[in-house]
Amino acid sequence: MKRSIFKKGLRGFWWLTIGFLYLPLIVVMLFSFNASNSAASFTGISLRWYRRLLGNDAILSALSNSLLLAVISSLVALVIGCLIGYGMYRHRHRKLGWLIVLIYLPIVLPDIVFGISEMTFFVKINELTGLLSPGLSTMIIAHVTFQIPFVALIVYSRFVGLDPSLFEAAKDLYATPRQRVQFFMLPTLKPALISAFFLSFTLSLDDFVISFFTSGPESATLPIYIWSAIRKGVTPEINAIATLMMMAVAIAAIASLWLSRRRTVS
Amino acid sequence: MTTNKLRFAVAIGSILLAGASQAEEKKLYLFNWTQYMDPEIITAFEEKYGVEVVENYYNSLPEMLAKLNAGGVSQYDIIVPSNYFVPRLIETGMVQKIDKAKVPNLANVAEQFSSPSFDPGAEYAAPYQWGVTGLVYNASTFKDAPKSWSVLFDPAVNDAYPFSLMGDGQVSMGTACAYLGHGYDCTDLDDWREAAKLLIETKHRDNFSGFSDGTPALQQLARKVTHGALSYNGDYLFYLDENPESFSDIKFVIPDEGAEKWVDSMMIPAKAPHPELANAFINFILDAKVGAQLSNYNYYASPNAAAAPYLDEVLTQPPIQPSEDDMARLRFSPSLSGKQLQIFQQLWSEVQAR
Repeated sequence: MKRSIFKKGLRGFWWLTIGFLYLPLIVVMLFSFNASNSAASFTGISLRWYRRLLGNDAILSALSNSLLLAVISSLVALVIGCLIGYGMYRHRHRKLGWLIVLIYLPIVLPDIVFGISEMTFFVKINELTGLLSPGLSTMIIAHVTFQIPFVALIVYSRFVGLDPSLFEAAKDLYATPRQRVQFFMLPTLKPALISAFFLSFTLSLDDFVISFFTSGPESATLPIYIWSAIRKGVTPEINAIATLMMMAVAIAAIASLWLSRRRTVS
Repeated sequence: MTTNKLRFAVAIGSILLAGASQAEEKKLYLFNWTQYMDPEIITAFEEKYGVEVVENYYNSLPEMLAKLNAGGVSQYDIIVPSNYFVPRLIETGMVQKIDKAKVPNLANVAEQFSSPSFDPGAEYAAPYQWGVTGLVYNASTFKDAPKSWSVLFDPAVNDAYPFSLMGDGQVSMGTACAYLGHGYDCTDLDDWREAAKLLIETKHRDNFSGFSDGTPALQQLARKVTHGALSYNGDYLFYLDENPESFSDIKFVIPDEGAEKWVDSMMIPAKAPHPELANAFINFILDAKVGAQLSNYNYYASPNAAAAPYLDEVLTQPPIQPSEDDMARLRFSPSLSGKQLQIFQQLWSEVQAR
């Protein structure tokens, strides 16, 4: 009897959680199809806000900035993070705990602290050398920096989960270092690399605070555009962008899931 | 793998180079308040000068200043700060003088803005739009409201209905000063103390709903979250026009005790990449017809006297163009600096903390 009440309670909490997570998103999506320019009443279905979106150069350039930044920074972070993850695994017995903490610090550091320090740093460099004026290049560096720990963490935990004797087995079979990477490490790491890439990609796409502090006049991303466009209230156009961004993130998540599942099945 | 790496290298290299070659292309970098520029004016400017205009936006002046400090001072050609920010920018060397020989349309500027107190001789700043921060309230709640800040500050006039004050310290303090009879632009320490005391008392009233900024304050009024607040005449008119049903009961008045008038000005950052083009842009905006088009789009008053014949009728009457009596009671926020600014900020954080 008591047990069934407990179970019902848990089920209730489950639906409550799902509700709080998704109802606000559904409202935004619904209102992006609103025929009238109102945030209060829904008057009919229309695509006019999506049409307006496509005619808006500022939004399109923000979108392409967002995608460019997310793709480039995730790829760079993937390469560097992967090397760090492997290094951490190789030298895990050498009491390098403090080094690992050093790498993870950006994960726990508040974005705003990180963003402001990156900004100050770039300004100093720019004053001294004239290089790295705020723009896409500074944003890519900043994004790579906060993505690396996530990639390294994922790669490291994948290695730790492996039987250590596999590495020796590969060596015993006279695989050269290059062959070990090509035929053993990369294939085993592939699911981890895929999920690390998509995690970095979504982190970069979602980021506002760090981008805000490191962006220049021509590198506004979608979150920055949305932030600067909401002074006179949220228009259905903003709802339409938000819906598109949700779709983009959802597609990335599904693609990551699908790619890694296909891997394990085969 | 190697080809991929090569691609990253090329991509990164091209981005770094793009940063360097930016200066060679003909572009104007405009850093402006959100929703404060008619896109058609930008198109017209681009066609006339064969250039591209890149627009960036900010929601507050501290935000703009942060961007300027973060390298923006050499990346933007035009910024549009409000009057009380102008001396701060001049004193810290963040802006350069306007080349008056290249801006003949400065002659169009109305007299009251042609040599303002915050920039004597108008060496650095050319006016863009001006407006009033007045009292907005729900007229169906306060049926015979006096034309006075007492709607906010006097519990005898409003003892039950929620109201807000402005998050901008200088405006809220100045308004309290005005209500106390010291004038909106008071700077006397004793007057400030009295105003701060009034604000703290007001904060502790049960129907005080909080500090909010001019634009959200209007939306709170429309949703009846609040019944009295401070806001800008142009934004009020914009919403009244866009959403007449929700705003039909909302009134905008300039209280008899006085209120703030402000003017946003175009300025050129000290290391702007294209100062020539920036001067041309200022001249373009100060053109009679373009000036009127800008005001007609923004619902704000034009500081451009030559633009008057082309203005929409609604912009030539209150609350956008106040009556002469009201006009005489409007003041700029005092430009504070040094010790005075420090004292003011101490008082204001006291108000916020208690």
